[in-house]
Amino acid sequence: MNDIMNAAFIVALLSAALRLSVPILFAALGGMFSERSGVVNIGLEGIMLTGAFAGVVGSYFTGSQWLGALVAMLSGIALAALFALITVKVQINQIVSGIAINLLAVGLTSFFFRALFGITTTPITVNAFSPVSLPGLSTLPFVGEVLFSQTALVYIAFLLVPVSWFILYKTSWGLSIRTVGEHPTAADTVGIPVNRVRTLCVLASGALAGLGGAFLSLGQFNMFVDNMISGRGFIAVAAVIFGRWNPKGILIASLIFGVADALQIRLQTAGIGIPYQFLLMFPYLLTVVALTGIVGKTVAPKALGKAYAK
Amino acid sequence: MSALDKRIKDAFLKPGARRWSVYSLLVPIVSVLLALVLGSVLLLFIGINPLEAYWYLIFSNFSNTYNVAEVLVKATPIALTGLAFTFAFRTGLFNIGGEGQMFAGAMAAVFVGLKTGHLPPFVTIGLCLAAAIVAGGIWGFIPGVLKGVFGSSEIIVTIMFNYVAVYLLSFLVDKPLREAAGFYPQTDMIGENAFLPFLIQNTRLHIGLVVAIILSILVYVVLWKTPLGFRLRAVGYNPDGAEYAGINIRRNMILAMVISGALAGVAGFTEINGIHHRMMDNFSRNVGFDGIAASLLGGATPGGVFVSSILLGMLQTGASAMQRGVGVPANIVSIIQALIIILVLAGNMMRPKLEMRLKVKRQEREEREEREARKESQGHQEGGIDA
Repeated sequence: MNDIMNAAFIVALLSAALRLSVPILFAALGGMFSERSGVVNIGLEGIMLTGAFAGVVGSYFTGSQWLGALVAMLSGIALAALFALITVKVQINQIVSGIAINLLAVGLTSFFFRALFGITTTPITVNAFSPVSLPGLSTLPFVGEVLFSQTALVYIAFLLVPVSWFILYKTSWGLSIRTVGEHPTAADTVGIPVNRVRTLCVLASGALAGLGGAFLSLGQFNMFVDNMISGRGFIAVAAVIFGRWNPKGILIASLIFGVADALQIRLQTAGIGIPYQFLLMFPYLLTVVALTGIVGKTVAPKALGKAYAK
Repeated sequence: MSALDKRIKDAFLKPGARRWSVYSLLVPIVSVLLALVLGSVLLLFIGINPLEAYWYLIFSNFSNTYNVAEVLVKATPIALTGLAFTFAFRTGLFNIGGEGQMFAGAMAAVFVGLKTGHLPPFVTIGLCLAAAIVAGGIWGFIPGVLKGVFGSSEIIVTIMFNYVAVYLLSFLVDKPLREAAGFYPQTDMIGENAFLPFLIQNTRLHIGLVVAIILSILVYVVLWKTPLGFRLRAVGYNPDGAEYAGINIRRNMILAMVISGALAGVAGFTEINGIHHRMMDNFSRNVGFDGIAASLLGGATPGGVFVSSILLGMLQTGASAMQRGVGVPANIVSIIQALIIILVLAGNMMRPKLEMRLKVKRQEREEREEREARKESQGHQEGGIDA
């Protein structure tokens, strides 16, 4: 293999890795807000699926991928509202609620897809996002192709990392969120409405996970198929933990998982060395290792998973 | 203990909560009915008569022996993964990894079935079962140890291990165990001697159902009639108290995860040796999660789990009939199942409140009666003085 082939391979790989990390990044940033406020949201998988579906439906009926993405966010918020209702208000166990939300999403999307489009053999095609080359930057050698010739949602996702960081650590909202997740009783004492903060954080996670799903259906595959999230929501849950509940860590985790995903796709076609399934396992195994705390300490928000009743 | 944990544990684990109450039956029944009503709204939305659809959903299951058998075929692995969830749950652990543990059991069973399928049935079936138990047990042991030693959340680890098992399985059928023909990503058939005997001719109902029933009884006996079960439940209900009483929490948690994993592993065995007779990508998906639903619906008791898994089996086989009969997407069953989970848990959350209200009412009535009785007797006395 000569050098040019190598460079081209790496550019393609990194460009794909960046794209593949985006849905995880969206959902994981959402999951981060939810978890920092004390609510474990393993319903991310289902919310992403709903977003993927609603994105296609929105784009199909309005002819605009942007409106599609908006519909996806709204549908994510709607499902998250149900999740918030049962976990924050009724205070059902968050894990089981997440499982129920995932199951509900599988059913609802597949039901309404058939209700709207009938049983089709050809996938519904809709207007989707196409790459936007940033003027000037995209012509840069190597980085231009990897970083600056992506779809708009990719740029948005990466912009959300510093924005989330700013919200979480530099605003009073962020302080409230962190306090509610660490010590709800103390938060309540100083007048922070614990359950309202949690509800809003869960809704935010719904909006972001919905957008992550829409990225898959409108930015990557350009269609909706049943179960198309296939575990990415759980990888996002993993990325929140592996990224230690902060935006920078989550960015790194998403990128690592994205590279693993891009590599496994290439291994499948190239057929060299490691079976691709082991790369698919990689995010999950890495997260388990992170959870043991052998490599550095992972400290979850103290009140994570615990409902707050006065 | 947080308020949530306490309320869940009160609703499920408190010794008193096991006492027969109207709510033990009322909550699941009302939840199922309510879920069906909510589902009918969706059916009306796509212009289908819900009554007709539900007729198919329920009664198609009883139209002939084969369909009745199919319900039980579907219910068998759900009952086993349901038992798995129940066992860990009673020890205060959330084993979400029934899916992965079942796949671990399936991988072991198919491997042994391929290698020893020529041996006498009794031997090879026994070996497959043992292998599945060990593999499922290991898949539960790892999260158990990580929980015990590092305090890693068993919830997240078991979720992660589900996917590890899925991809390991995918690798096995893709490369080392791929069928000799090499066409599909699946293994060869296991030896015919390793097939589980059928219970009813011309149906797929196999002896795995009996295994599930025996294990249900065994789990009940172990959890509620043995010192070991008492210790496990003590850890689940009140870890601090259990530790104070000299119970080794770590060891019991790990043990519970191993047994839980082994139970789910048996589901892998019954699916491979009883139904598929080979392993392929994407077989029996979601059975682990169906087990969680069955356990929650059944109040985390072995008997309840068994009944619930039959109900879920009915919904799933009925759904295909409904799809054929009135053209309703079969996936509506996922919606109904999700609603059932939510409603049952919401009902259980409200249960202490409802029971408290009943209690208060009863007390008020008793007090009133007492007051009236006292007044009456006072009236008699006063009358006596007057006279």
